[in-house]
Amino acid sequence: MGRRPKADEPVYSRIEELRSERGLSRQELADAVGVHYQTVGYLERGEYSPSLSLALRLAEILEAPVEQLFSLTPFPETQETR
Amino acid sequence: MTLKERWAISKERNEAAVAASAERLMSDTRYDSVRTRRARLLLVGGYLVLLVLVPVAYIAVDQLVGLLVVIVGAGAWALLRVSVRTIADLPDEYLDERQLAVRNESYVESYRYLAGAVALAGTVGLIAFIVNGTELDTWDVTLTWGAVMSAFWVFLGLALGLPSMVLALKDKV
Repeated sequence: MGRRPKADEPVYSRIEELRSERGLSRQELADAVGVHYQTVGYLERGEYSPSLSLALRLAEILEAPVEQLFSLTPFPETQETR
Repeated sequence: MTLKERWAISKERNEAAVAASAERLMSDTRYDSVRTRRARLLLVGGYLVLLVLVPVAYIAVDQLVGLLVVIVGAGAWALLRVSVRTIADLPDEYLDERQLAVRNESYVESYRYLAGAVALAGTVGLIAFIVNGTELDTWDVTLTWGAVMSAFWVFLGLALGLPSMVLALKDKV
């Protein structure tokens, strides 16, 4: 396998955008998926890569496929994020 | 009521108390003033200073002053735990996956620091033995109450405080 780089590969997310579209606060989303509200902030800033089960729970609550929520490459800018 | 039933009730009450405490600490904002970067740095610095002051007070000043420093240190430790939402001490089931990952990282780092400190203390002891030992390979050391108390409290303070200190410095909780 060899030596892995210390810094994790960045994971880009659209959680904040989709959460706003659904009218959810960070606390409400956190409660819905069973994490601390700070963790939602880390996920939105791309500073934490979730486990598969958390990613699936987020996708279910935000009513979007996982690949629309997370990506290894930056998402194209939308009207809202511009 | 049998002893087993009493034990079960006691365990249930304890779990309920831990759950209530965890719930309160995770959502409370009353202590946010000790959760800023600056406050955490001050708390960690203060705690380390107190760890140094324990042997100074016990050995060079007075036992009562030593005890007073230990009591202040216990207060600083409690505040340090609150500043990181007691994440270092809570059972796994009260933490989410990110908090668990940060907690685990901090325990690995704490172990390295503690192992380093113990290795350093052991090396200093070995060198002292080589320097002061007699030809008969003996070294008589007179331990005072202050010296024993200092060693006990400093080691306990380090072992209990390191995970919270590392968490506070990481600033991720």
